[in-house]
Amino acid sequence: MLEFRRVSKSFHGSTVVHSLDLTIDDGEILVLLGPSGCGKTTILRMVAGLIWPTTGEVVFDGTPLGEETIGAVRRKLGYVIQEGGLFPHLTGVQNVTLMARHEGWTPAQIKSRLDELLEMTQFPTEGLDRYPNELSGGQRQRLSLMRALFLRPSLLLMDEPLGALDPLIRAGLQRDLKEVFARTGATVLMVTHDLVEAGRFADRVCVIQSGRIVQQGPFHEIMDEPANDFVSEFVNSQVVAT
Amino acid sequence: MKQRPLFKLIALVVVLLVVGLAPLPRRKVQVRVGSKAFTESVILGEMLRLLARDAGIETAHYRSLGGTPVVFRALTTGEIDAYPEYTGTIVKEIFDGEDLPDAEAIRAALKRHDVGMSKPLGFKNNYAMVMTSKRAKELGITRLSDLKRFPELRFAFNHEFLDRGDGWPGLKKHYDLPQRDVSGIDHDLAYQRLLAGEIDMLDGYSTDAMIERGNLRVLEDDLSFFPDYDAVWLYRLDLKSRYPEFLAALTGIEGTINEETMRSLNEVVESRDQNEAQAAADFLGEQSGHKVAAAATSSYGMILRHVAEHLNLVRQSLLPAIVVGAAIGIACQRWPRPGKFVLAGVGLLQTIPSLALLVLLMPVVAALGYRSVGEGSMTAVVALFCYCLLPIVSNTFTGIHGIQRGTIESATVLGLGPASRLAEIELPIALPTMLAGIRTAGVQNVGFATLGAIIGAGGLGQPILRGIRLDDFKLILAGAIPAALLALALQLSIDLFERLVVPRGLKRQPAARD
Repeated sequence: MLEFRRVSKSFHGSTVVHSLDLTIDDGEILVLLGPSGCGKTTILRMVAGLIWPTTGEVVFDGTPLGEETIGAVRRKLGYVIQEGGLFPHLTGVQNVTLMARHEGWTPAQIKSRLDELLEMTQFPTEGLDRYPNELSGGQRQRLSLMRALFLRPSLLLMDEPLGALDPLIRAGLQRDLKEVFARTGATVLMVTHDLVEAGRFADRVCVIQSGRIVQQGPFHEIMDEPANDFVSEFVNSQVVAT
Repeated sequence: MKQRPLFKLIALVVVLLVVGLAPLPRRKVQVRVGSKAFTESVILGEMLRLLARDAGIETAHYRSLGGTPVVFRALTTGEIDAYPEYTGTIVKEIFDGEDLPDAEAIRAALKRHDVGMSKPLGFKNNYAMVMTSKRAKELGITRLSDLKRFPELRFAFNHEFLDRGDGWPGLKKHYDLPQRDVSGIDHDLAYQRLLAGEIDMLDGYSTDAMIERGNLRVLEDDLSFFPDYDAVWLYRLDLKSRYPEFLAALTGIEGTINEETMRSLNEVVESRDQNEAQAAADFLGEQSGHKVAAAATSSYGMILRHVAEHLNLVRQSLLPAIVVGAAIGIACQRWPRPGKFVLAGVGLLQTIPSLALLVLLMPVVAALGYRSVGEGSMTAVVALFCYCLLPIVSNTFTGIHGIQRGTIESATVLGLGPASRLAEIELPIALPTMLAGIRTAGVQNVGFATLGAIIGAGGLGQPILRGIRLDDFKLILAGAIPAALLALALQLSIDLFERLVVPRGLKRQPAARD
């Protein structure tokens, strides 16, 4: 279980996240939806321990996150960002198995987990020996997903994972990602500005405006009963555009 | 096992430091002699070396160490044991401002530095203001006081003379000279410019071979400004107890070299009939009546030796600079606020002129207990090290700084600690940029290392300096060509290394399509 307890975050005196209270249950897929600059990525980064709340605390499985606890928590995290964040000097397989090697897994354990993930993510085997700059954007995101999943995390943090892909590739990956979420059973915290993505994945959607949750609930509720003008405008702008 | 890349990095650092700092076996030297950077001084230095050698003492001669301050300091600090000097220089320059009327007063002053002075060797090498005979005749100039009538004359003096109290400033005042077109020039180049008519007068020495060869006129010092410059040996007083046989040999040739002899020795060397060692050996042979051999080395062997010395300078400076420079670059990137100042400081180091850096470093190196001049001195190594830093520091900084934020953050969230992240992610990604910096530093270093010769540290600069002094183009090339080839070889090896170790993923490639 992931909890935000009155979490605020300010940068240089301007507050980006306002006193956030939010609980995400085990196995739940929660999507933070909102326009760029609304603070949704900041929320995600506080879970990864890349930045720390100004006030309040983030608690994961009963452990408040801090400099001392974050190391242990990160072993249970998977992290995927828009551009993948792959290591350019390592081949696909080296990227994916880096942490397993650090953790002292045997080659047999690594091989078996790798096969499992290749099948799950639909990543082409021949891509394993290529470097990230020799892969397509879609392949890079699948690889990044494999890397995030390798140590069987219980919480997946996804920051616009499909944001940089063109529509066709995106659709394919959306389908596969949905499947991956179902099979791993991990808790997912995903950030996106894309309505379709939110609708596709979310058990629950939180719409963020200027660092505050303005509406939360199942996707259809957001669509059918926008809580205020902002939500309705945000929803309509994308419905018309799509 | 799981920390392998980190161990590899530590091993690499250790290897670089050990290979860079390991001392080479050195010939055991008992007595060191020095000389200043002009032919006569080098010939006399060679005489000292041969005298000591024939007394059965292992000797090294640090040729052309530099000007008076450098060589005299080397003597007082014990880095050399003896060198040829002139009484006028001792009075006017070393003890400037003290009243030293006679040889006894000079000896007493030197004694304070534990330095002794021999009796005169037999010749004076006075300052000589030199014009071409033709020009002097045209203008009707025979004495220094005649110069007052021709304010448009162009003078060129060597840099030491230009600044010294007993040089141009004093001369100008003494004779009330009006000339304004006065420039500084290297002694060896001045004669060429005088003969070419580009200047009207230069400061020479009364024993200069060029005076006869070039049909030049020495102007009479009619108001007696210049003191006498009797050639003498300066030596450390502890030689009396350490090597009395050397001291005996050294005083044995007091009074035996007259002006004509010295001038002809200078002449045979400058006309390139003989090298300094051979000229000195021939003179000593005539004196003692038995043959003295100057250890002859082939020019091929000489170049090889200088290449080895050169590589040694590069090795000792570049390899530690890679480790230290990378460490500073990493630190600057980690702590950007103080890092900014450190980066600026390293950049400033680069702007210190090389000669100035060498001279500034000498007392520091000596104070730390290292040899500051001569073969195996740390001064040149430290100076070269300083010059290597900037490209390595700034490229390490840029290389790491330029890594995409997402890449670093992914490594962090995956759970890599700072050390593993550095060894496995940051340094490998920054490697191509760092190698470019190391290449720049290395190529520069090979060039700068020629300057080591100025303080007698050897290397390919030595034939170059000697070539300039003797106006011997072949000798200059014998230093310059191998130095250029070395730089090229270093560049190619780094290129090859880069090809071997930089993974395909860090080279520019067209991305695959979906």
